[in-house]
Amino acid sequence: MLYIDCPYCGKRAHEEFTYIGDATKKRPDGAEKNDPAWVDYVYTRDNPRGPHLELWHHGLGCREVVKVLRNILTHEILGAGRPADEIPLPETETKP
Amino acid sequence: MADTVILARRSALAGVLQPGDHGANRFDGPGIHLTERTPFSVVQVEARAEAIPSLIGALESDTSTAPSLTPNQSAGIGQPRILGTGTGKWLVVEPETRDLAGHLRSVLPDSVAVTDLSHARTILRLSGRDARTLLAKGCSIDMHPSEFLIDTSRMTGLFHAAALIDCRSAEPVFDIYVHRSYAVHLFESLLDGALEHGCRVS
Ligand SMILES: [Zn+2]
Repeated sequence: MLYIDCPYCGKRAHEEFTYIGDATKKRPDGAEKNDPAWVDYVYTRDNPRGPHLELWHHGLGCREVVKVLRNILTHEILGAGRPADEIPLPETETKP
Repeated sequence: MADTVILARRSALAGVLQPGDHGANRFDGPGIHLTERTPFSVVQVEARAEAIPSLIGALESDTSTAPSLTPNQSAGIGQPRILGTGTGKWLVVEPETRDLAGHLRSVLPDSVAVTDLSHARTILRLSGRDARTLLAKGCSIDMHPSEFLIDTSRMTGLFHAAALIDCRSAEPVFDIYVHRSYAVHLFESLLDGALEHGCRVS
């Protein structure tokens, strides 16, 4: 069982959450007509062998969006916070 | 001019909730008591961060009950009871005697969103010596008496349905709020899980 430390609800089983996606992608300005910027936002994803910043939705809880740092290789949950929070990487890990 | 029509609330469990004793016939009596609390007023109040203090102040001066800013902490003895369900978001609930949503709209600041959910929620009351064991069958929250204390409430999944579980008493007594359309599913799941303990439905 994986546990995610929701900033509102506290430590909860991951079954209460739904994966949304990559938390590092920033939506381009609505007036942006540059196709590569949109292609990057919509399609381009890193697949790091290690920590990954992602968004999860706490649907069976506070129904808020939670930012989670998860090691894709081991599934270890390394941190969680609100979407605007900076979640520091562990010392030994490389940047996602 | 049309006549005023006063609608009575119809329970989502009408015809499903059959009073009586079910399951094991225990020498020490049924381990679970299950009943529905109805009719109830359930109103959600919600504000953005900057308006939360004025929401709390206005709600406390009107109801003499301060909504708790601590997550998972409920407040009030039931007239009304105020349950936190997320950041800046509470349910105000009481046995239905008046237009609670209309009343809250008139006493809370305009910046507060007031949503009447009375028609949309079913409230089950679960008590008895085996109530914690039964809840533990259907949810991943720690139900131990040292962890799930009186006057705490948690939004969680219970038998896969989104539910709000509120601990009213250490006996234990729990109030469970569930979306109306899942009421039959949750009631049947709880009753099924309660059979080994003996279940008195009333
Ligand atoms: Zn949560």
